[in-house]
Amino acid sequence: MVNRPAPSRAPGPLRPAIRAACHRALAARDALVRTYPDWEGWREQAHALKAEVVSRLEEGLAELTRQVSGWGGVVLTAHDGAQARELIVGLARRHGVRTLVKSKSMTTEEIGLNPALAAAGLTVTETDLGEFIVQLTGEAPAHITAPAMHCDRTQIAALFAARLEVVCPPDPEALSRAGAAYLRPRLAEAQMGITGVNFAALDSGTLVMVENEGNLRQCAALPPVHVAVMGLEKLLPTLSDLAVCLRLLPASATGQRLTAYVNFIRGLKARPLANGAAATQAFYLILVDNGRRRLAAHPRLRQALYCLRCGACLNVCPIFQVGGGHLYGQVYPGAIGILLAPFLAGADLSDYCTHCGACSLICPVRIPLADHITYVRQHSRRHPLLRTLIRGAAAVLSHPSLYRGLETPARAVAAHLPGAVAERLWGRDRALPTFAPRSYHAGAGDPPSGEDLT
Amino acid sequence: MIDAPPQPELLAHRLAEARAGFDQAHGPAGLAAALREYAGAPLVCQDHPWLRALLPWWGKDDPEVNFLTPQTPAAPLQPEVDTAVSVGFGAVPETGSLLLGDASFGGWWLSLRPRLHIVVIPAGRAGLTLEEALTLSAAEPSGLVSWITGPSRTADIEKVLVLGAQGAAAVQAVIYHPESGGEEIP
Repeated sequence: MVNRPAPSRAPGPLRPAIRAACHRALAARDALVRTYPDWEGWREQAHALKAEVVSRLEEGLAELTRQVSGWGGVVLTAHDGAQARELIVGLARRHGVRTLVKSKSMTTEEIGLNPALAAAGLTVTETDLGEFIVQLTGEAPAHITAPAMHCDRTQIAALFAARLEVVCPPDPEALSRAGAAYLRPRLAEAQMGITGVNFAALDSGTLVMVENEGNLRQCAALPPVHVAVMGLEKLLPTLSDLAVCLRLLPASATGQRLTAYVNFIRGLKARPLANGAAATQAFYLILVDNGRRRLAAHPRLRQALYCLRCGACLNVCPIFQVGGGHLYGQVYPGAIGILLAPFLAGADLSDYCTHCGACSLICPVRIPLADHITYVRQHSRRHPLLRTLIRGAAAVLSHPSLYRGLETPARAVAAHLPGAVAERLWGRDRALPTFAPRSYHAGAGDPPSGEDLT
Repeated sequence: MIDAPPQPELLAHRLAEARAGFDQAHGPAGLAAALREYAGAPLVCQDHPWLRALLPWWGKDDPEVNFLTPQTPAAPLQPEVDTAVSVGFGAVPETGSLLLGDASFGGWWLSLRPRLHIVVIPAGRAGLTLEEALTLSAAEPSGLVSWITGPSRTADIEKVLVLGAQGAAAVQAVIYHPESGGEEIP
């Protein structure tokens, strides 16, 4: 299969498709949430649950390791993406694996797993339909829960014809069935299945995975080896605590009361063999740090680890709606991506925000995303000159006497600003507006004759 | 012991929302009649006493019943299976979810490949809250539990909903009322 190149910007003609997909997801979410009188209470409850586990992360991870080891799983910890990749490639070699299937997992995207598997000579096939499509296009997922949202039916039909030699009408149902037919034998024959993990309950070591297609269940159950890759923060104190998260996550992501499948794994799976015998499947849980411990230690931004990965903050973001996930150039886009990027990817996305605050209002675990983005932006090291100017402007605007004192010199500078400088500051396609003949303060209460101030 | 009162109206409503069917059956004869209405051939059933008990009511014109046992484990992987029947351990009216364990081997597998998945739920467990369902799931002897809420689905292409993406295209719940003094909840 193909390796993914660096993410690219969404092609212009497909931007309306991204916006439409966001609006449909939001409409479905809103319609369902309106029927939930306890929604705000559930948000509060989930926030408290995640706060508890993130504040006691090491203790929780030790308990999870004990519990999963107790039921026969092997738990491995990766400090960063490179180590995670090395561990998984090593497991594949140890078990003589040549072919792998994967379900959708943002953590495996984060660690760059697919290129590493391909470089090791292994064949990996994404089995979530959306992920499969972007694997064929060679792109990164455009959205946390809707990876191929930027592709339309015509493009996908052409893609299947070119890459799979499957001629199919540009019809979503026909294309979905064609994709499933292509994936079915690969699922049945794969030697290793890789999945993510949505939640891990500490009281029982139960790993919970949600999905809609049924491919995750097959990745987890059919191959001789199952590897689950999990970010450190996916812990829940008890399995009972899952109830509130199950109410919040699918509703926020797709407007569903519950996903079609919720899978609970708390033991080694018996795997049927063609000759009628059964074998016990090997199971590995890879715990990925990759900056999460550093984030958990941050007194303020640690709340980013409460995220359930529903994608609602992407759908509601005006910047995301324009460009989709590829605009950000990182695995996690949108408001949550801005908070995770400095810790998980060493990147600064703090300019990708209009500060409209919609993300904070929609977040199902009540992360004050907009406030935290402001904090990240205040500590950003990008565009130092611009940030210095903004800080200077803030100082001037918060001191009226300083403002009035600088007004006359500023008018003089602006009047004599060279055209090239003005163009650079304001853009080539726009003229720099001229100052009003007199300031608002000077004319307050005395509008010029004929000027309509309404 | 959780013995939740059934809420058939709410469960039926939520199942319909999730694009799944709802029916009720009383005793083996009623269960046979319900399965006869929905099942196509080839038909594979979980090897369960409730499903074995319906055989006297199963006619020669009905689809042949193949019971899935550990000795015939590869059967559900065959794509030509039309209908699978398994016995779940509960249902959640709040979400329209059907709970399946793997204790009798077939629960986990039977929803993977057939076109239609019929899930028989004991009436005494058909009114679980989410919290009760989690408690029961944690107590399942199997290491594998699945909650099924409607058919397999995808909306990955232009958000158009397609059922039967990579699992059963149709799900039918049958709430089973054993005859009085009859079978225990499995």
